Amino acid sequence: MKESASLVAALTPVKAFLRRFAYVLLVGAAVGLMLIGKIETVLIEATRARIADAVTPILEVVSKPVTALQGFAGSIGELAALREENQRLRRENATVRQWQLLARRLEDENRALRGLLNFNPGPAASFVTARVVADTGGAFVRSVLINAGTRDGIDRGQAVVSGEGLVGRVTHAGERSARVLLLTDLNSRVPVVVGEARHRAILAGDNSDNPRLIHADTKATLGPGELIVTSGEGGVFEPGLPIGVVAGPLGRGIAVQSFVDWSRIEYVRVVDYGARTSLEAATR
Amino acid sequence: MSAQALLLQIDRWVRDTAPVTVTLAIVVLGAAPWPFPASATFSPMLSLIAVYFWAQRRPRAMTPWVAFAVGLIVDILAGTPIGMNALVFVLVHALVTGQRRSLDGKPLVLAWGVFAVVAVAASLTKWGLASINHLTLVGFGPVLAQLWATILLYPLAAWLLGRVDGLLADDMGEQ
Repeated sequence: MKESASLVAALTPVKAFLRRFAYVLLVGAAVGLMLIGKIETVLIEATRARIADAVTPILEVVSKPVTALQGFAGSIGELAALREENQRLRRENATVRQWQLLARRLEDENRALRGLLNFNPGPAASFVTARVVADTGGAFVRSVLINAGTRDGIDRGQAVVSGEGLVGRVTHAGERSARVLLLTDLNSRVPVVVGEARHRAILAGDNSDNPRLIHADTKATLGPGELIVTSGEGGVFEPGLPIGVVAGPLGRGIAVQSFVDWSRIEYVRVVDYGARTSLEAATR
Repeated sequence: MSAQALLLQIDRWVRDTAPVTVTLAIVVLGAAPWPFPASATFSPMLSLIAVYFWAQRRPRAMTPWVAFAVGLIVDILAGTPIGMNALVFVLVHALVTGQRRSLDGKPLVLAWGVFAVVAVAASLTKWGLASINHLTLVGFGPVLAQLWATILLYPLAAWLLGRVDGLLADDMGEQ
């Protein structure tokens, strides 16, 4: 009895040392992992994709009731403003009908002109619909995880859109899950055209809800409310995907109000534009 | 081994692992696409709250190794640089271990204040690490929004976790 007590007493400093040592070891491991992540990007991302694949079924189960909650909260809000909404929709409908007429006329005209010119419309896009299972909004990275992967035909570089407009692009694809880098992420750069004058610019994210326009060719003429769509330059995105409108000047760039509500992305479509992008060609 | 002893063992095992299980559940729930307005910007660091809380209340379940593992899982799910949250959680754990005794029996407001300091330190560390990782100064606005959300949510989260903690203690009393 006495012996075991003295053994415990003798082991206590060892335990304390191990405990202190644990911190040093773990801090070292974490720093090492960050370094490896920076150097061996491919290995780390492949591992990450594999683990994301394994966790996706759990995330799918968890995100379902959360998405249901989304529908519930939405319907309560709608009930409250039903009358107002109705009136607004009626006004909007009248305007939209005029636009529809115009669009039909333009479509006919366009078809006729294309026929005249032997215009090549480019490859037809196909798409896969997927559900967002993890939304990691945050200060350091803006991305979502979707429940479709390579087995559904999803590949790196494909554009991701929602009903409202462009959401982002696929950065990593696992077998049954894929990570989508949002337009708002610090690393996102999208070539766009702005307004009727079709000014070229780059849409850059900064981890906030409002991405910015940088490298605009003529800043002075970009007024609030002008439409921003993808330009298709670089071949990553199909040209003409809607993104948002100009909101106003902001620091060294121009703030953009995007069409997508970043807090409520539920279903997305992953567009396979067909063309192997120059980005892919450069990295493979 | 009798059935009674086996049940006791299972009960003990569930109680010992409950803090870790609860933390993992919080990590997964935190990753879910919540529909609240502005949830993309004001996304609280729920996992930080969980690691901080359990490191204080149940240090034998929330060891530095567990904190590290939880951080890794967060990094994998969130797409943050692998090791970033792991490093921050281990540092937070070390901080908590250093001050645990001095916080015993102090009023909630004080505990809240101490957590706020820890959260600020954690945010600054993450911001520094992210900036080094991207080789550019990451915007501070979104970091601040996340920090505010985390600090404001702490009392509620701590209260809920306290209920879970109480549940575990009650079980122990019955034995």
